[in-house]
Amino acid sequence: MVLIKVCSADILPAESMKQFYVKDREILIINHDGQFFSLDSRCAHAGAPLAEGTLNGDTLTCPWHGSQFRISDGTVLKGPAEKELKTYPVTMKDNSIFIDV
Amino acid sequence: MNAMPREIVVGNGCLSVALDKRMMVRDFTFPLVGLENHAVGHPFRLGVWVDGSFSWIGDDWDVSMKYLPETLVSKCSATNRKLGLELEVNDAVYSFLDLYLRKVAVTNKVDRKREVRVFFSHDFHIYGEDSGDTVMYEPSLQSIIHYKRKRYFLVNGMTDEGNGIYEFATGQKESFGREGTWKDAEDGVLGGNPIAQGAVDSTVSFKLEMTPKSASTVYYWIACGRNIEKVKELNAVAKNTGTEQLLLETENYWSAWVNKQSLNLSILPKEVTRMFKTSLLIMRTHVDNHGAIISSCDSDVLQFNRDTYSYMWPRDAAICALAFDMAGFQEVSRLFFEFCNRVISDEGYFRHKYWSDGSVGSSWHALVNAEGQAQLPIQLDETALVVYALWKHFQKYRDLEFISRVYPRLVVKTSEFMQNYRDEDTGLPKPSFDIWEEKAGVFTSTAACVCSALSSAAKFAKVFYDSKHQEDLNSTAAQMKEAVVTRLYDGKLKRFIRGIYPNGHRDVTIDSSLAFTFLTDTFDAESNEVNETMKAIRERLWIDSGIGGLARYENDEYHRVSKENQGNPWFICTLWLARWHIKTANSLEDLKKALDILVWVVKYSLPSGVLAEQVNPYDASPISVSPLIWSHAEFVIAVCEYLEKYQLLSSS
Repeated sequence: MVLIKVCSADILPAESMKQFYVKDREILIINHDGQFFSLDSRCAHAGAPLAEGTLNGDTLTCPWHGSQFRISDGTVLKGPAEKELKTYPVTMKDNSIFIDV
Repeated sequence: MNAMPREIVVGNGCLSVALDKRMMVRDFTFPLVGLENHAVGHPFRLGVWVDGSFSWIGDDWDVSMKYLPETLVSKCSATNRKLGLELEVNDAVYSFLDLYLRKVAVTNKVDRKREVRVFFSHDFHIYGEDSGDTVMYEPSLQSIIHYKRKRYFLVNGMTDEGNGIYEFATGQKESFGREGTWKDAEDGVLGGNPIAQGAVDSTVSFKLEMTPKSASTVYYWIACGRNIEKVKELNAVAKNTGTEQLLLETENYWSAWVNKQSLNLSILPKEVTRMFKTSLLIMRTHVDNHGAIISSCDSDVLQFNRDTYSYMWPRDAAICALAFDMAGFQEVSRLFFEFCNRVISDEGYFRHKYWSDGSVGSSWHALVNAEGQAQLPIQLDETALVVYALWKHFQKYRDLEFISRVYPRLVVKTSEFMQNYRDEDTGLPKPSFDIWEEKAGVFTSTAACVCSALSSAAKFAKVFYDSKHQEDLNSTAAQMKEAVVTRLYDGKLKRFIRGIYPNGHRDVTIDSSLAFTFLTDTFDAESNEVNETMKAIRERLWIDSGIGGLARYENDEYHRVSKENQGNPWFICTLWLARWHIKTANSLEDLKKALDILVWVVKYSLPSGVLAEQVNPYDASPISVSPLIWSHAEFVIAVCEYLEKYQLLSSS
């Protein structure tokens, strides 16, 4: 397992999300209820930028065609997306967010 | 039709379509971006008929117009509570073919079955003219075709049930009291007249049988070509591939395009990142695939002076190319430099402005001055900025083979001209028109641009091992810089003055364009001369009694809203202030002033992200053309400079 530091937790207020480049991948980090989640930041349907979508509880909605995903495991809750989003384990250390890609 | 900003522009470098706040197509240019405009501001309407009532999208509707994030497909909605209807509309121009696509998803909000008819009207003025057009119904394709000479526009569509055009009308307009077929549509029925010629328009409708609280979709397109075979071919593509798929492909293409450069944007606030990408995309809609970068597609300014901003001004375009280069889009700026290489005069200067096909544009600069003496009707900074931008391009990309193709004309010729177009007594450039295109004289901003261009040419000469030329250019640039300090810096005022007129009159107006002294790297942004000048600009031109932002110069009358301020806030001028804050920042804390301005720009953009030329100082409504590509380019440049400085200060 190789942990990579993404950012400080301070830059992600509660119920917010931000896109980062980690090892040439576009990764989305979400702060929901004080817990951090990490997923692919492009929609599995048509590649929309999910960081521009909306977060409602643990549901992430795509800004282009409205696909919905569960942020904890990337499961598709509503189409048109059919494929789940890849998720990455998050580790917190000294108030910083690390992910394993 | 009142002047309205363009909220959405979509295009593919050949076909460009701009929509106003009522979702009406107002500018439709093909086959070049900015040329020819087949709508010239005349509206192509979208409307509905339901329960015996008709309504065009307009003031009765709650309208929202944005882009889908990170792409060139619109995301618009219109709700009419009275009619119980909601429309969700996506507009795009297909990335590879000249097809304007429109998806209209209609939601019946009422709990009963209803028939809804969706209407699209077309007020084509082919080649921008109001006569000699033909519009006809084509039965084998069940479509409408507008044509004249070598321009064909085929209108067609399909509902999600697979039904084509339900009814159509063609007819005459603009004569004998005829308003056009769009007016006839308002009873919900179209007459089916199969052909009309002269000044003509057309309207088509699609019928949706809607169940209670349900949604249905109309897919609509306009295929553009130089002959009937081409538009038939494109019509077949739209029909066979399906608009839904073409929209998906377009979304993906522009998303991949704008994200190709992995700049680290994560340090920026989300809204600034969004605006950065939107700006690049909107800028791209104004780049013709043959290289011209037009200043604005918005033709409503025609109402004021019977001319538009749909020209390539070498200044605006060079700054736009610089922005593309800084953001990593060198292939776009290369197109522009190749265009410049084709159109530059044999004498080595650029004229006032150009059409997208390279022909010389209209001008208000006379060939004689007020005293009747001959003058060259040019703005010298336009030539200089192209050379400066070309050097910046080469500095970043080192594409020597490309540069060697344009070097003889864009560097050698231009620098020879600029060296010769100099007053031997003063060492300054000879008079030319100022950056605001208003007055002829010797201006500080122009001289700074020329100094920078000569230094750039010297650096190119070094690359090409032309040491004699390099020496001469460096020496001329140094003499000119010294002359700027001696003659255009006022020791008593402790700042640069605007310029000197041919009659010797010194113009000491505080003008934001004095920022070009450091923007072109001629003077250090931290030098006393620049520091004092920028402080004077900030103090005198900041709009205190309104929304903020920087006016162009003292007592600027162009579209002036109130005498309480020096002028209206201009995005470009305000962003120059941000760039000065960036250049002079010594800590991350110092950079905050620049970030505040970037956020200010986002705040006063249109909801779609479009930036006007200027805004009303009190209510921030857009003034003059909208979008203005220079505004977007300055935003992109400021963000790139901010990122670079942030990196530098973080690592030190």
